[in-house]
Amino acid sequence: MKKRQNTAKAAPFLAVFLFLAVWEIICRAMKVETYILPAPLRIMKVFWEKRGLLLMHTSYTLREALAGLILSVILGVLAAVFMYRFPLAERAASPLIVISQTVPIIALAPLILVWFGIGIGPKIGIVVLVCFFPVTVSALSGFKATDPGMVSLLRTMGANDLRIFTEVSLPSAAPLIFAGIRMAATYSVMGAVIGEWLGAEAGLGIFMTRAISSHRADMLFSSIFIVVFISLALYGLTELLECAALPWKRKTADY
Amino acid sequence: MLEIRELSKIYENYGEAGRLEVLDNINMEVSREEFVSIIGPSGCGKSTIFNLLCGTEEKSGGTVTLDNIQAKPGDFSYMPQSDLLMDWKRVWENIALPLRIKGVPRFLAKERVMSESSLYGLSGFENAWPSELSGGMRQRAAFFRTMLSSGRIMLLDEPFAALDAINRERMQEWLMEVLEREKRTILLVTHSVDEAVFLSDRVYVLTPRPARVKCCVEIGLKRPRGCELLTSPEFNDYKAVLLKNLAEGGEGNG
Repeated sequence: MKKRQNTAKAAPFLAVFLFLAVWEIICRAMKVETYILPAPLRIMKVFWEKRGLLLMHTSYTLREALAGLILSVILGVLAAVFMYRFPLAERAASPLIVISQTVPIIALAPLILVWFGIGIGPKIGIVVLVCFFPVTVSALSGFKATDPGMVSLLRTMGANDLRIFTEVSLPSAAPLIFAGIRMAATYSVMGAVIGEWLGAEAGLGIFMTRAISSHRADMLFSSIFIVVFISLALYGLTELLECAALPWKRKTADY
Repeated sequence: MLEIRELSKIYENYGEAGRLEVLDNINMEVSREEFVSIIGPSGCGKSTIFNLLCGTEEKSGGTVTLDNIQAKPGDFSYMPQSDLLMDWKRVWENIALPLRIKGVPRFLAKERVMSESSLYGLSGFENAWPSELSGGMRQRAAFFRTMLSSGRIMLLDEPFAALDAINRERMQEWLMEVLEREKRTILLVTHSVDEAVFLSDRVYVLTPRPARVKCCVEIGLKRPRGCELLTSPEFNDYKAVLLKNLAEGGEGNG
């Protein structure tokens, strides 16, 4: 039993390792040029050589992604609360919110650059634009799923609307809110990179455009690896937060 | 004394028929510390009476008075059919909820729950999550929570309907014991004839929809009542009377 559990834990790592191994073998066997597709070991080497530069750009991007994510969570939950409280606001705002997701950010980015310059602020704005949606939508559907029986029970106990919201709606919606935050976390790094792509002082997006223009596919891939890695790290962080914030979920999972 | 006079409930704009008459001219009385049950065919509107008393629905007509003063929703402590324990609160926090809403400080509320939890068979489980409790324990926790609500009259809406037969009988006996210790005025909705006879001082039988009071039966069985009563001839006599009235259905005498 124990052994099977360990195998289950190892499976995803094994799959990633196999994927990289096949990649390496294909590159070597077919003698693929580095500027077309660099092999994983080559990428690791560049990774090590450029570690100082990469670290600087990564910290820049990570800051944008984190700030944007936190801002999205705050704004998204507040917007959901507002729309839950005032259904008219939901009716009015929901088409706008959906439309905001259909606009291709990559097309809008150059304009944002013109409007707000190349500082960190507009990058955070783009992250918020991308991450706001999943948080708002999941929080709102969580609030709407509030058990009406519990609401009327609390009413018979003499609770007011605010009390009912904090005792029932918010905690019952919490798992869904966290699902939205997890989704937003995986988008956030991508959002920051798109923001940097067309102009920034620093960041992985800028590093990527420079790598491409100098035909350094190995450098490009080393930064892609970082984007993947920090996206996964942020995802893991939200899971840890969820575990800490929803202790009752943790308990039932044991059974 | 609780007096319900000419209580009626009509849903306007209901389906194709246009309107649905659920309750028609309901008259009931419940004295202090009396245990009164309401029994009727399922779907006849038993629970609607509770919703009207608690103020979760508007009544279409009639009056409800408590000691000759118009009753407020706050006069009732309501125990719903499903236990409605909150997964995200520990057992003691769930039970203490009515105290906390009234503004009792957290530590005092906790102390109160801790000191009485053994009466409800919950000692050692105060800090558990509701998902760790058995069905019977959940019902006892919900009942404990209702006991801590300040309403003078307890409304129990089929509290044991979700339990299996054995647990159900055990819970009925347990409820009896608790009430011997701490007298309460109770109105119980049930569709179990056994439960009504075993627990009540009086039983109101309702007709099918629109519900009218078909009759009121005094249950003269001595207290304390034990499980041996369930097979006694007197018990069966009362049961027969109730079953006969339920089977007749039809016109109530108001």
